[in-house]
Amino acid sequence: MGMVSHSARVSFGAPVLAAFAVAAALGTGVSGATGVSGAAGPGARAARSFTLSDSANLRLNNHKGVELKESGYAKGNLPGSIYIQLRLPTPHYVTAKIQAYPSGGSLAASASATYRLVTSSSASFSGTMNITGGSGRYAKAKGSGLSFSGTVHRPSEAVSVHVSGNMSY
Amino acid sequence: MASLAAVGCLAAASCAQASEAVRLQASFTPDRFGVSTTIGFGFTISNTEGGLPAPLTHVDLLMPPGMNYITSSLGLATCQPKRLEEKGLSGCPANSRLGMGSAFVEVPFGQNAGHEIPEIQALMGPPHDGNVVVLFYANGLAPVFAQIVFAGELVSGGGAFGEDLSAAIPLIPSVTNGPPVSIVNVKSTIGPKHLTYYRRVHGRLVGYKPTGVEVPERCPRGGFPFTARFSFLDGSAVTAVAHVPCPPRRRRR
Repeated sequence: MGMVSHSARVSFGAPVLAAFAVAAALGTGVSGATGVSGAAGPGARAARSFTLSDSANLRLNNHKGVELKESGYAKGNLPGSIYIQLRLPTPHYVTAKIQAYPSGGSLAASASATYRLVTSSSASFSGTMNITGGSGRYAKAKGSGLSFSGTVHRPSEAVSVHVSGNMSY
Repeated sequence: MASLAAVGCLAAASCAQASEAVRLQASFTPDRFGVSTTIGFGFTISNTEGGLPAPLTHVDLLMPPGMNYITSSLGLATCQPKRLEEKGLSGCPANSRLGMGSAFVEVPFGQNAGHEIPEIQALMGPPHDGNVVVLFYANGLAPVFAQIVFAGELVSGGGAFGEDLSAAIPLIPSVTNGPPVSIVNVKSTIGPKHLTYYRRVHGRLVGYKPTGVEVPERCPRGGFPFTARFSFLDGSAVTAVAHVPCPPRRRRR
């Protein structure tokens, strides 16, 4: 039994409700990088691809209707601030918009997952995530079908998420 | 509170077979866009040919889309069915309570031998296959029966509707080894009205009001639709619909 905050303490600006965090930047030092080739032409750099694996424990910022807005810090091979908007139109399905701010840029992604009640106070979700855009170092970020999973603690509405899979930027 | 009721049946095939008619009612308290509300629902069953309706065996209550129980703070604790059967309501945590109501049944002998079931409690049960399970506890009075526990599961409703609370209704014996009673009226709520939850603050339990399901910000033309399908022991089935009228939009100053 815990408290539930339904009042908005933080008002996100436009960028916030966009997506889950993945990405971010690093020029050379992404651990888990597998390396990949890239485009040709003067000034073009090779696209980097690697296996993303990031996790974050998120705190509720705002709850309105069937939407939860959460924020936190992602840890993994693309660490940085992360904002996520979870939408639960039914007790069995969740969609998410994610915005992540790794070093050197930002990443946007969207996800959908099935949602299951585990106990009366906790639920889990599991599905896939697609990278939808980015900026800075991640302006050309791509990735689809990444694994997207996590848990929701109902009393506090805190969310933990984990994303993994192959992406390039 | 707003409510609107409609008498079933919708399906022609069901109507042709059924001698039961059902009036469904639904309401939101309060009834305003985007606020935590208590959902009230009720139904009255009658026999179109006179006499008692057949005993009810199954109810599917389909909620309006956009109303998601899981984003409320209702049912943060679990009530174990066995504890509920053994100890009654005191066997379950306060934070597992979801709502309450009452019912009226009639026995198949005597005249106008109606009996009220003054207490029906809805509680959060252990999830099943990832679904919300609602336990209903009917605390009846002698001589008809004692305490009954049955479960409903919140499953995907499909189509234009939201979730489907699907509950098999046990047959309630009128007397030991006697014929089952007929349920003629049920009223219940799901929501924070009359509920108090508890949380620990600085080592002390403090009461608070849980938040209910929020009334969606958008209302379909004609109101928020509730549909219920009723199945009876005689094999007949009836569908009834009720709409909660759209709340008035607040004027901007």
